[in-house]
Amino acid sequence: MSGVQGVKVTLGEVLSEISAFERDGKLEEAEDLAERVLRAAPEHPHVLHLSGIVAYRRGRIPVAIERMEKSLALSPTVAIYPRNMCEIYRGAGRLDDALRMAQRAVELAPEDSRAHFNHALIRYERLELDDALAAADRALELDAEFPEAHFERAEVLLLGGRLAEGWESYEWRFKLKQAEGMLPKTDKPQWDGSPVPGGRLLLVADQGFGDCIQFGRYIPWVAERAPKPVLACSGDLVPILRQIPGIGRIVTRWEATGEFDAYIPLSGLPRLAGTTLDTIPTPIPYLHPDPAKIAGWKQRLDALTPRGKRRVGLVWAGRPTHKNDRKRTVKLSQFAPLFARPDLAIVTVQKGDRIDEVGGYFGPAPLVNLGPSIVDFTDTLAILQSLDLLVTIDTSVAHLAGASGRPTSLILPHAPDWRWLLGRDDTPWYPSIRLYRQQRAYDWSGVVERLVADI
Amino acid sequence: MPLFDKTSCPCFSGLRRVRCCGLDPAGLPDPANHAVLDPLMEKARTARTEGRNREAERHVLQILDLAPHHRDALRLLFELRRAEGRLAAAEALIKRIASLDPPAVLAHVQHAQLLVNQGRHAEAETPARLALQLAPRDPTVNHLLGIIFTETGKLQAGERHYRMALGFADQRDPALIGNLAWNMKQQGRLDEAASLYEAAFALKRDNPRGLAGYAQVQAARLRLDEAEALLAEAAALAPADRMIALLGVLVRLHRDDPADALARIEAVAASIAPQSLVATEFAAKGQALERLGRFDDAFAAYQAARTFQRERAGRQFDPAPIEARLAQVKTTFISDRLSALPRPAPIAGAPAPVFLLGTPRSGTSLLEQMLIQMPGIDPADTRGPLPDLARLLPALIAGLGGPEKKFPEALVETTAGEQRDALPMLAQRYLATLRGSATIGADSRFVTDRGAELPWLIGFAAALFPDAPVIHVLRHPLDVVLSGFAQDKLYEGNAGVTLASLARLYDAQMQAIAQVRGQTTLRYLPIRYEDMVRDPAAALGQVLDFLAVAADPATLLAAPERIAA
Repeated sequence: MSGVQGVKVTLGEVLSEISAFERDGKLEEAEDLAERVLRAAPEHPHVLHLSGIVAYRRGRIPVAIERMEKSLALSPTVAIYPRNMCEIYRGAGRLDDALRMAQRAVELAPEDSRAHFNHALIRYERLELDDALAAADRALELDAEFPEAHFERAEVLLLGGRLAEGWESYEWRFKLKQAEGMLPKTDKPQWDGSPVPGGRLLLVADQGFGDCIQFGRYIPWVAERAPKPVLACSGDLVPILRQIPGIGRIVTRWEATGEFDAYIPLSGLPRLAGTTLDTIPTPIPYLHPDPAKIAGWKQRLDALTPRGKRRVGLVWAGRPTHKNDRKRTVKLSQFAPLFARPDLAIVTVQKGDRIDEVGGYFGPAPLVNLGPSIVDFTDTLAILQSLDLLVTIDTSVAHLAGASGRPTSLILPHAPDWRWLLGRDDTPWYPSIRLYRQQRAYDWSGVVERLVADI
Repeated sequence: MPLFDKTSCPCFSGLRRVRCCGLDPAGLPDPANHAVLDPLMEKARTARTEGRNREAERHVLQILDLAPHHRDALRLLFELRRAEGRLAAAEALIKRIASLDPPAVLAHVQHAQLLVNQGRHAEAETPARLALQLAPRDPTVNHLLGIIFTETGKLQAGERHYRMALGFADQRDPALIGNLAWNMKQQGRLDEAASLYEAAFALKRDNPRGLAGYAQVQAARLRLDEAEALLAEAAALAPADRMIALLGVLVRLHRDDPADALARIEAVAASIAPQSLVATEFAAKGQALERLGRFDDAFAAYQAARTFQRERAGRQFDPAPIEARLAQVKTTFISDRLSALPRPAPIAGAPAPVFLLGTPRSGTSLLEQMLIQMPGIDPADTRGPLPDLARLLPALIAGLGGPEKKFPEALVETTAGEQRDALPMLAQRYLATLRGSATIGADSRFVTDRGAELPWLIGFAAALFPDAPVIHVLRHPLDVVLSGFAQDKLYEGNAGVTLASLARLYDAQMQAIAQVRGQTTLRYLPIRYEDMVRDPAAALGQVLDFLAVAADPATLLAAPERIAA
């Protein structure tokens, strides 16, 4: 049954094998084995539960929910069932059910730090920040070295605008499993802001492209204290970040950093600078497109787009591996109200797999699929100068537009990333960006309409 | 093998196989010794001259059994077999004559003519080219190449050879002038075609097919009275010619007289009973019935046309070529693969191509007709040279030192080395070809191209002209498929033979277009056929606006319909 024919194994062993497959990302093997076990034991609660998790990971959400609900009905007092169900419901956008499960999990296992952590997650999704903070704190009382709970606490505090407290908890981000490799392997200390000789501070462009662009504004502040810092970043960011004054060398491999006395990730700079909502530096624009590229793209756009229409840039999808991509990414077709405007021409600056959605676009507004012609961020930066407005989801292009001072309408999920704060349609990080928030979780209705009405 | 192999040759030449298609050239007699057979050859010639063909045949078979490469005997047997309609034998024999040393122009010409007469024009090109090498100034050879190129769609090459033939000939040949006229008609140069037909008929008028060709030119010029008069004249000369009768039906349909069209086609059906109408006749009958509102009968006629093609002409749907083209588009047109493609600069002073993209029967011809009402916009119709350029690209890449790749994969190779010159060269050739065919002139600002292969080639078109407008005509897929079914055209992979296979073609082409749209930057505008029909002025205005052309669409559409010159 577990692959070696004729050898008897226990159900527990098979379930462990499924869990191992699932943990290692071998989802097809996990699903195959889970389905076979489920046929043999269709009423076994743990088989149902585990096969539900595998189905969820395979994107079969209704099947997952059905099986896991059944397992819970069969064994209503197993704490792990509601704890996991909470996440499945959250993923499916059923926030009330998710909360009910989180509370049930905590009730069944009040000493389980993960149950409280899951509770904090769902409270964040519901924008119940005080409850989210309390749940994260309870998880940390039970397990003070729980990086995810610290990080969740940071996100709650930052989203609520309590930046000074939030930055402290935010320091736990490098202990998260997914942060592995983001920092150099070194015995040198993290920089504390004190003076460092020229070229002896290593700046690390950690996190996503958007974070690096956002926190790149602190580089001149760094250079006043540690002249000509060496910047380690992804090759994609080199042409963008190198134009910020104060940087010394830029490297794209750890081996090339050379000797340094201390290091600091870019995302650690707001804390070091003591940034609060009132002291966010906005030296905008701090990214400047190449004039030759601006002229080249303007000429191209003049040739490609009809005259007499306002040009609206568009990005509708983010990097699919981003943890919140499901929340932030929309379908091109969801911008239909934008396409219905006779005075607009759409210029998509989307990159990646989702550009193929343009192949199915037949809307009334002329649409130029510029993404395939864009080579790097410097192209996008230059193109933005020839657009009247950028409409985008929460992705790196929004940061490019914000950092170069271009007018932007940014659509945000109900519970957004912490940097966009709550209850406001502007952002202290980028004065040229206007925010359009979901009114209800996972429901984009009305968002694009409001945005279009403001154009 | 038996000591004496009497097996007859399967080509039906009448010779033994070992003396015909199974001949071992190593054991042949010295041609110098053929002279001993002269008396028998003379007897054969005499018999042939006096109409005693069986006797002539007997003599040449004897000669060829002894001397299989006896040129005169082979030629006489070839003539006999050709006259009998034994075309496989005739072809085998003429190929053998053509291979003899020294080479003879006549053999190559006859080989090519034999193939042309069977409609095998592409195959005929090789022997015709061999003949041209031997006799480059021979009017017959050039005339033959003119026919071959015209019938294989290489219209300008055909025109060149027709004109060379005219230049080399001592006398003006009405058939040659008529063929050049047909070539002009195919190129859309209707006025020139009409003049040439007039010149041909001044020399010789009793040519029913020529008259029918001229009638088609006059119909295209909307001179329907003249067209019908010509067809009547042709029909009087060849009353049983069904092609001429069919043209008469089509002109009646053009004149919006479906009742008379139907009566004519039914008269043809009655005259040939119990023989059946052919596909083109059934399709015309369907159109007449449809115009009369007899939709069920019309559909039955369309079905009969397609059934004829499937069951009588053996045309079965083969999805392989369509699937292969789609797969090629999907693997080639990927943004990362093409991101470094050279972008040919717009050609100063040249008109800009406007690609009218659409699956068959989606309405690109209607849009083109509307657009060319605007002075400065000229139609290439379906005669744009993109398919030729697509065939040329791999050779050009290889010629510029690149690897040998097929189209469209060869496109990716234009990113490297000297091959980066390939796309600008082809863009220049595109325009030069249209200039050569007088499709565009000094006053042209735009040229519309609605080539049938555009759904497959739109990515290539955009690679040649990156800023060229692409107007995609969309029509409800059910209408597209039904309208395609109501034709006699077979389309790729014989997709026309059923509604389902037409739907497959539509789906594949729309997928190909979507792939290119998703993965490349196009200057693209979709427009709906239904909108063009409901409000032509608004639709035309939208397209002109997209082209940045200032004009009043209503005034343009109210002007008399422009006819290609």
